[in-house]
Amino acid sequence: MNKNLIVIVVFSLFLFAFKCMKYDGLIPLNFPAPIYNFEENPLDSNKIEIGRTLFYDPILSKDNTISCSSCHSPYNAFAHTDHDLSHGIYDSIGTRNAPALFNLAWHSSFMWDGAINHLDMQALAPINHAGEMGETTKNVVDKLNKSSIYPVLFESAFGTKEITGELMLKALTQFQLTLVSANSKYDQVKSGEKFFSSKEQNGYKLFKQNCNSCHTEPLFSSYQFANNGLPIDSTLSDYGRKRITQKTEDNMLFKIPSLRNLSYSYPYMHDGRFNKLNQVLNHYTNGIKDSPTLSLKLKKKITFSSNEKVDLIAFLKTLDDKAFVFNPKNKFPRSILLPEKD
Amino acid sequence: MMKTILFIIFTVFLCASFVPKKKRGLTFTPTFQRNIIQLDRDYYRYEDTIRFSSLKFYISNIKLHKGKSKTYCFPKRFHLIDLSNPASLRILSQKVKKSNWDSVSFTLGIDSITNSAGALGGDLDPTNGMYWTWQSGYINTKIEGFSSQCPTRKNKFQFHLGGFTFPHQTAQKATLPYAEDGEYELNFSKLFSTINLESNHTIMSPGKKAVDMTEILATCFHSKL
Repeated sequence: MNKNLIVIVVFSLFLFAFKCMKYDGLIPLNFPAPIYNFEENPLDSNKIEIGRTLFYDPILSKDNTISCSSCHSPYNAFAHTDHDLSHGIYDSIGTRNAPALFNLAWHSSFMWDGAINHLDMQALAPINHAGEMGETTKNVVDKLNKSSIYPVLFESAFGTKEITGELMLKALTQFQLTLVSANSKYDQVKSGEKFFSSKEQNGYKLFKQNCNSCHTEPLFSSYQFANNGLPIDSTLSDYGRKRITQKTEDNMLFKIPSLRNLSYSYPYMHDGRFNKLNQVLNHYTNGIKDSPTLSLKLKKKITFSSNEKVDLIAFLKTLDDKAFVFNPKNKFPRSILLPEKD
Repeated sequence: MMKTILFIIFTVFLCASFVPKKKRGLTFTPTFQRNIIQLDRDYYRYEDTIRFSSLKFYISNIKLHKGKSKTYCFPKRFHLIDLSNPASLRILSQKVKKSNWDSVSFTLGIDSITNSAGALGGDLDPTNGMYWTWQSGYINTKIEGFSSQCPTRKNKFQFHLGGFTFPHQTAQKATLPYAEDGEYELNFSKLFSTINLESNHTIMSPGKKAVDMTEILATCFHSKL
């Protein structure tokens, strides 16, 4: 009797330790405290797996053609390389560039204009948008309840076969919370495993002098909003955060993106207008358009010599996280969505 | 003999304890021209013919008060009242005692903390169609229908009233004298008498127009006569 008890206790401890180990690294040591409240949606490997399946499943769209991964591809740090504006159902073209997805637990709002206030609720926007997935939340949940795979998965993870909007959103969040990028060369230099080259070191110095106040280490964004002096694109007439707050002081403000994984996630800016990092740096040195809402940090002209630009780009490339981009845990769940038949 | 009497008394008590307690609670009935609104039915007014196709609103944090000290809070905090689901009009609680309450207070809409709390279930599940998708926030009140006055496609009016951030918070507190039968009406005739449907027919986002309309709506609750 006692022996059995000991075996059970040891086994449970082992399971517990295994579970902790598995999610080790989701809150990197050098990161600040996350904003997402994990206690309200505790991570669980089964729930994460459902989230991953939903993320790659076009069932979320009206005609089963578009999945989250259509515009958020793992190999592009979950952005949409080579597409300036996002693509959606019936060959629709959106008005903004699909942003890269990582370190989402540290975001206080979502979308380029901060329209969404919680990671759980973000997926509602693309699902219901006529030009993205063109569906309704209720219809998606009905489809999931009728599918051959999801009720079984939800029962094993949530203890109920009845899929609700709440559970679907929480599962999607779980997968997205595992998309943590914190293993770039920069991170390895910080932890003492590697060293910057002299160019990278000089680029880091220039970064700290000119960029860090908005693209703040170690997330490489403050995730606040700013007008970075882009002239308005008259074909889009996108005034950013003003649409949400209806305040004139928010005219032309967009959410500051992270500078991690830039090599994988071009083109840049909310409308994907720049394809190369060089174009971005040229904008900051020569292209800033003054306006009443221009970020105070950009009122003073930034100058870089051509050598300095090379060094700064060398530093920015140390923020590429290859291990994250090619992490097999984040990929298409083939065994669930496309099981091989015997 | 004694044993039999005891047994009978015991049985009676046993049965009594199994008789379900009468549930008491409140009913919120949307009315128009003094009657419960029927969806998809024409109502004739001096200025137009009006028809409702959808009518939903949230009532939250219901409390009963007696004097300054005694308060009873309904255990379920959020109630989606949907005219197409008659059962939702009645908010029951077994624990409401038939005490002489003075007043009832509640909020028309959802508070700002709940609006920022992420995915929630039950009456707050986003599949109920009462959560905006293009930006975060609950639609506190959804009123849709048709009026010959509306210069819109198919003469449609759509009021999606919500918003929880300063200065356009739409959740409205209301306090009413307690009605013995717990029956309350939400008088939409009164609300619509203040709306010029020719110019005001579509509200789909938070803002001053949404606040103004919900402020009026919150004054349209009455105990049923």
